[in-house]
Amino acid sequence: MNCRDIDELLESYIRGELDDTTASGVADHLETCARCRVAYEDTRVLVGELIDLGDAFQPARAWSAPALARHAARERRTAQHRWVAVAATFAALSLVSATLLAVPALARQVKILPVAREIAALERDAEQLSDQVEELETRLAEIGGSEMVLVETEPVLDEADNRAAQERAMEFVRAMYAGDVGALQALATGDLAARIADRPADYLRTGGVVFAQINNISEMEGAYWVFIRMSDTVEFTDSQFQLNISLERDGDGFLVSAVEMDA
Amino acid sequence: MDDAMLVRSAQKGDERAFAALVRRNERRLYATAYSILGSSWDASDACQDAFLEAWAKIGTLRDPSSFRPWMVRIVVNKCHTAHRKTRRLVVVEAVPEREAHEFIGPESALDLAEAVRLLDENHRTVIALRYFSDLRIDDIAGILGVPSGTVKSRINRALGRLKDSLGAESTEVHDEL
Repeated sequence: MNCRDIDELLESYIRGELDDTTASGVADHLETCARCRVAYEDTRVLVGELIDLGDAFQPARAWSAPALARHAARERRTAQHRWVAVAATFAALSLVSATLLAVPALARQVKILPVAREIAALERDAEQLSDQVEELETRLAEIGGSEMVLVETEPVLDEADNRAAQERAMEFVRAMYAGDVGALQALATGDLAARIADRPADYLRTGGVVFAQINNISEMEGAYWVFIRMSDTVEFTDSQFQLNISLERDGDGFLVSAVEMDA
Repeated sequence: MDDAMLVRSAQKGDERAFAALVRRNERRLYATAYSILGSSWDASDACQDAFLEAWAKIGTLRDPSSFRPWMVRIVVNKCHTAHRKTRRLVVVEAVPEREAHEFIGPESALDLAEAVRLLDENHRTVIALRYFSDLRIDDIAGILGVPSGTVKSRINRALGRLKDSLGAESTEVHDEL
C-alpha cells in the first residue's frame, strides 16, 4: 500500500467502513509514514467537526406537530374554491400586518414589487428588523401537547394570552381535519359558529394528513392573529400554505372569529 | 428505543412514535437540506414537505432499520423540487429576514460552516449526506444515482477543498498577527 492508496482509503478508514484486511494495511502504513499520519490526523479532526456541524442548526419551526392526524379519505375539494370568500380581505390584511407588526416570517410571503421609493422604505424596515433579530429570545414551550420553539419578535403579548391563543388555534385546526363540525362551532364565536353551520364544507379539510407549525402570533387592537404554516395531503403537490386564524377574547380564554387561507 | 422500533410503531399508526422520529432526526435532515439549498427558509419548507410525505408513506418502508437513508432520499427529492421552483423565480429584490434556524454550535464551527457553504453543489451535497445525514457511501450513491467510486472521490475532493480553505484562513490570521 502506498501513500496514494492511503489518500483514497483514509476517509473510509476513519469511518470504520473498511474490511479488516484493508484496515490493517492502512494501520501498518500509518505506523511507518509520517506524511500520512499528518493527513490522517487532519482528516480525522475535520470529519469529527463536520459530523458535529450537522447537529448545530436548530430549526425555528417545530415539526413534531400537534395537528398530525390521519383520517379516512373523503370527498376532495380544492382550497381555491373553499377560501375564495376570504382571499380578497386577506390581501389587504397581510400588507397591514407586515408593515405594522414587522413580522419577518409573514413579510417574506407578501409579494412586493419594489419601485425606487419603496426600496428605501424596505431598507429602513430591514434595519429595524435586524435590530429586532438581535433582541430575539428563543426558547422552548409546550403548546398543544408538543414542544415548540418560541421566538419572540416583540415583547408585547402577555405570556398566558400568547399560550392560550396558540392552543385554541391549534385545537381549531385539529377539528378542521377531524371533520368535527360540533367541535369547530364550540371553539368559534357566535358569528363564526353560524357561518360554520351555514357552510360547514368551507371549514373542513378532511381526508388528508397534516402538519402544522405556528409561524407567528400577533395582537392588533385586542384581536389576536395566529399564523400557521401548513402542509397536508388534501392537495398533495405544492402542499404548503398558511392559515391565518383570528381570535377574540372570551372571559379568560379565546374564541376563533375568522379563518383565512394564504399561499 | 432505536429508530427501527419507532418506525414499526409509526407503521401501526402511532403518531407519537412518528413525532419522536421527526424530533430525533430533524436537526441533521434540516442541516442536509440547508446545505443543499443554501436558503434556510427553503430548507425548512423542504423538510416540512418531506416529513409529511414520510408520514403518508411510512407503511411502504419495508426495512425499518433503513429509515434514515429512506428519509434522506425524500428530503433530497424535496430539495430538487424546491430547486426547480427557485430557478423559475425572478428575484426582484431580496427582503432581508431572519434565518429559519438558530446556530447552536460553537463559534469556532462558523468558519467550517462558511467553507462548506462555498463548495460547489456536488461537493456540498456529498458532505451533507455523508456527515450531516451520516449515511454510508452506498446509500449516498443510491440517492444520487451515481457509482460509489464517484461518491468517494467527491468526498475526498470536498475534504481537500475544505482543508485548503480552512488552512488559507488560518494562514491569513497568522499573517495579520
